[in-house]
Amino acid sequence: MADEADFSRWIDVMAELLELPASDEYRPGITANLATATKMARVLDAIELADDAESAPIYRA
Amino acid sequence: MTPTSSATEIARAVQTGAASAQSVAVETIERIRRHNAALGAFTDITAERALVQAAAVDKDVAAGNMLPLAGVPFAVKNLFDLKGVVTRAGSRINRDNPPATGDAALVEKLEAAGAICVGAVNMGEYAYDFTGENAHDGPSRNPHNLEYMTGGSSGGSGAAVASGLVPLSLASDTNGSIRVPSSLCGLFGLKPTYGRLSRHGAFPFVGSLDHLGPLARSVEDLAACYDALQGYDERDPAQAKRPVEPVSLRLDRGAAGLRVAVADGYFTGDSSIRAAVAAAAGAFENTKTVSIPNAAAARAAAFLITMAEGGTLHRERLRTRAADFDPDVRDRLLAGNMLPANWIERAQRFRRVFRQQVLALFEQIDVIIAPATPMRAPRLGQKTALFDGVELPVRPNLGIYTQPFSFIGLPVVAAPLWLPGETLPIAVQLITAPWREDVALRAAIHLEKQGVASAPVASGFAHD
Repeated sequence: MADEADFSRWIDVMAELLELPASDEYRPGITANLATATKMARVLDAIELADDAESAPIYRA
Repeated sequence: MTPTSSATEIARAVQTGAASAQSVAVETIERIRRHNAALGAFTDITAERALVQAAAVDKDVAAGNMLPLAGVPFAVKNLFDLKGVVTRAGSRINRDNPPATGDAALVEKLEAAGAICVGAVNMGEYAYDFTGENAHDGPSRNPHNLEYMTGGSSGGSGAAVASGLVPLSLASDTNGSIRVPSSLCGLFGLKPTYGRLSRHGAFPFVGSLDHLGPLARSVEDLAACYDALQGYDERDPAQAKRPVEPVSLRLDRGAAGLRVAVADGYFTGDSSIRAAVAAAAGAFENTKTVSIPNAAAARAAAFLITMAEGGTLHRERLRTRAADFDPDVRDRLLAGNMLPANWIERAQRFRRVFRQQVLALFEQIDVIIAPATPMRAPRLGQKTALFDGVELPVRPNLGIYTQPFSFIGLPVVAAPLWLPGETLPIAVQLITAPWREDVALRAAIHLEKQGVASAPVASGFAHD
C-alpha cells in the first residue's frame, strides 16, 4: 500500500462490498485514515505472537 | 453553597440541615443558565427532574436517612440515558431517536446516594474525539481560558466541573476521554478497571475498550462518587462480578511504602511534560523508572480496534445518513469498516500478550506515573501541534499516552498539576494493577495533600 492509487482501489472494493458511501468528498478523509491505520498495522506487525497467544475478548457461556 | 463547594461539603451541609437539597439545586440551575452560553457545557438542563429529586432528598434527610451524596449536583456526558431526554451521544443522528425510557445504571446509583442530576453535557460526536469540539453543538470551552479546548471526548464533563457549575460529572473513557479532559481542564478523573462499573444505559463506542467513570475537583469527592457507583449489574455483559470495595475511608494513609516508578521511553515527552512528571514523582520517596514494553504497539492496537469496532457499530448509519455525521468522525468510521480482519485479530491477540507484560511490572511497582497528555490545552480549532518537535494532527495525538493503559483496562487516576509560570494545567496518570483503584486514589490524595496536584475552579467562575 504505497500510493494514492492503491488506497483508491482499496476504497472502491470495500465500499462496494459493504455498501458504504465513498463520494469524492469523503475520499481524502478515508484515504488519510487508511494511511494512518496502515502505519499502525506495520507497528503491530513487528511484534511476534506465539501460536497460543489467544485473542483477548472472553466469551462466557 | 458557593461554586467552589465540594461534593463532600454540600452533602454534609444537606445532611445536617445547614442547606437544603432544593436550595442547592435551584442555585445550581441558575448558575448553569447564567454561564452555559460562554462554556458550551450543557446540552440538556434537567431542571424539573432536579427539583423533584431534591425535594425527595430533603424528605429523606428529614426522615433521618443517611445519604452519602445528599443534594450533590452532578452532570452526565450526553451518552448516558436520562429518562425523558434524547440520548444524543454528541451526534445529530441520534437526536432523532425517542427519549430514553429509563436512566443509565450509574445515574441510578448516584441518585440512590442522594445526588441530583442537573443535566447532560456536550461531547465529541459518538465519543470518537480528543478535542471536546462538537460539529453540531459547538465546542465545549476550557473554563481556564475560553479560547482553548477542554479535551475530549468528555469535554462538557470537564467544562462543567472546572467552572464550578457542578462538583461531579460522569464521563466515558475508551482511549482517554476521561483523562484527556482531566488534563486540559485541570481535574481529578478516575478511569476504573475495565469491567468495574456498569455501562448499562450508556451509548457504546468500542465495547471491548469502553469504561465509565467520574471527574471531580478533589480526590475525596472522586472517591465518594466512585464508591457510590460500584456494584454488579448483570445488564452490562462485560462487567466483572466484583464485590463493592469502598475506598473513601482507606484513602488517607500517606505514601509510605508505596513503590512508585516513572514510565520512560515512549512516555518521556518534551521538557514541559517532563517537568510535570518530575514534580509528581518528587512527591514520593525512592521513585524509580520503568520501561513499558511495546507501548507504541499497544497504542497502535487500540487505535485499530477502535476504528474497526466503532466503524462496525455505525455502519448502518454511515450507509443511510453519512451526510449527518461530523465529517472527521465519518471518514474515520468509514475507513474503520474497511480494515483487514487480520489486523484486528492480531491487535486483540497482542492485547493479551501486552497485558501479561505490564502485569509483571506490578510485582515490583505499585504505581506507574506517566503524563496524561503530550501538551496542555490547544486552542479551539487548532488542527496540528508539535509533538516532540514533529508537527502532527492534534485530534488523534492527544491520546498517545492514555491509549496504552485503557487498552488493557488498568485503573488510572488523572491528577492535575499547575506548574510555576504556566497558565494552563496538565495532568499525570497514576496507573495501578487491575482492581487497585484504591492505590491510585491513595497516590492521588498524597499529591493533593502535598500541594503538588490541585483542581481549583477556574478563576473567572469562582466568585458568583
